[in-house]
Amino acid sequence: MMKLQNPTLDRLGDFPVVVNLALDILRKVEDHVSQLEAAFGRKRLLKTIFKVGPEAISQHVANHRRIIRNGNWPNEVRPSSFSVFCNEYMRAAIAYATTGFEALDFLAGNSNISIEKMYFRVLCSEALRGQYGKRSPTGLDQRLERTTEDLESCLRSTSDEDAFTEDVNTFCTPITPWLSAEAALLEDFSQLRQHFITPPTIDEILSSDGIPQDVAWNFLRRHVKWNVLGMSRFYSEFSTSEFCCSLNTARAEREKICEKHRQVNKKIAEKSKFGVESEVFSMAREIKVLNQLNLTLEPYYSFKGSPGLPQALVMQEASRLGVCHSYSLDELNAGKWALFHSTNVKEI
Amino acid sequence: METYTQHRLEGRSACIGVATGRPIIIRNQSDLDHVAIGDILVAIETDISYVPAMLRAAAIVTETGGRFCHAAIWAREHRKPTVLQAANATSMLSQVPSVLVDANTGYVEWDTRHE
Repeated sequence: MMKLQNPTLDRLGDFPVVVNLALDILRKVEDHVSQLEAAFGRKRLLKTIFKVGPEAISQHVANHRRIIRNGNWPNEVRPSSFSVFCNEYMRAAIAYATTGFEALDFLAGNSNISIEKMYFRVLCSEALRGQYGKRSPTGLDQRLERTTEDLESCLRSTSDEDAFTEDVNTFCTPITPWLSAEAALLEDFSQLRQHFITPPTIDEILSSDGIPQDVAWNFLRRHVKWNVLGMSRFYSEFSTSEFCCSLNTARAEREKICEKHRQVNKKIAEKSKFGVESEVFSMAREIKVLNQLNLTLEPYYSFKGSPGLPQALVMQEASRLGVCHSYSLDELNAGKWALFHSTNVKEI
Repeated sequence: METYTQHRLEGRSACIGVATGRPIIIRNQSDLDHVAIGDILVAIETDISYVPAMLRAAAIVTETGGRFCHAAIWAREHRKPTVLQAANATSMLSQVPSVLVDANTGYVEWDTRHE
């Protein structure tokens, strides 16, 4: 398991806005996924996903999105403090990953439960994920938007609207080492190719150890839903000169954005001297953490990511067999919270 | 006699810049393979699987997304002209041979020819 390095505060400028909490949450979820991989069997995992096939894998996000948008989901309004929200969000993400592996066991024919029961579990898992996601009135996206509007109200000056808008945009753009999933994809692929010059086979991945193995599994887990063919595709998609050029452009731009961040952080520090210090600091911290989770944990480990794939396949299988029972909101709500409370996670 | 009608879509700029190119509408994963270097990638929203196509595209147009969306972050890191919230872009641009993406103003413009 790759160990993430905590960033040093000296890169953050005069007003440190600490986002280690986002990295801690991501690391906990990834550690949990890594343990689930080991328990399932890594060789078995790669071979199971290989059998799913590239077409089903490429279509699962669109299919899953349709189910989410057409469904009726029990989202409760749950105002909470920032720390409570983060811990609940993390717990929901871990529950979602766990259900993903239950679905994998089911699809691999290694489970005693019926398709009807597995389908209900997957629906409850999706309902729980949604409680903290985009559709929810107190989910991550709504919380991020509201907090940003509140921060804007505190910081907005009466002149130079364009500069102010650019400041907020800069503030919302992650800087090294906190990368978006897209930026991490390029950096992770760069590392992968250093250790595996040509697309590695399943056997080559399984027979590697140490850093090459960590790098390969990091890529498989985050970016291609354990699909070795998907990993190979990036070798052909990223032709060397074009890829290197884009990687260098992105790195150079992040350095510039980092400098702009220092300037914006200074402005926030100036404003916070006028009696709203703890409030502005809290809002800025919340925005940074939620934004980072939105740009990393969501694409890696939500319905678009690796645990989402087997759950989407269960839903498809249930549909194919004609066993998609229509559950009431109360039934889904009860199932969702039962899953939440049965997921044991040490709080951050 | 040929006449031309100008069309324009308005959106929100995520990264300034101007680019002209062939719009490629992304409705499913297989459409991504059609994006060649210099094309304009047009989608409802983007996700991580779009990255190779986004590298090749000269500009990006999406129907949704705010300042926190992946397309916006990508745009700023790669200096790609990007327009978000261009309503109905995927349907309006589907038969258009060439568009101008002016991310300085947030407009996507094209002409249609009549004979």
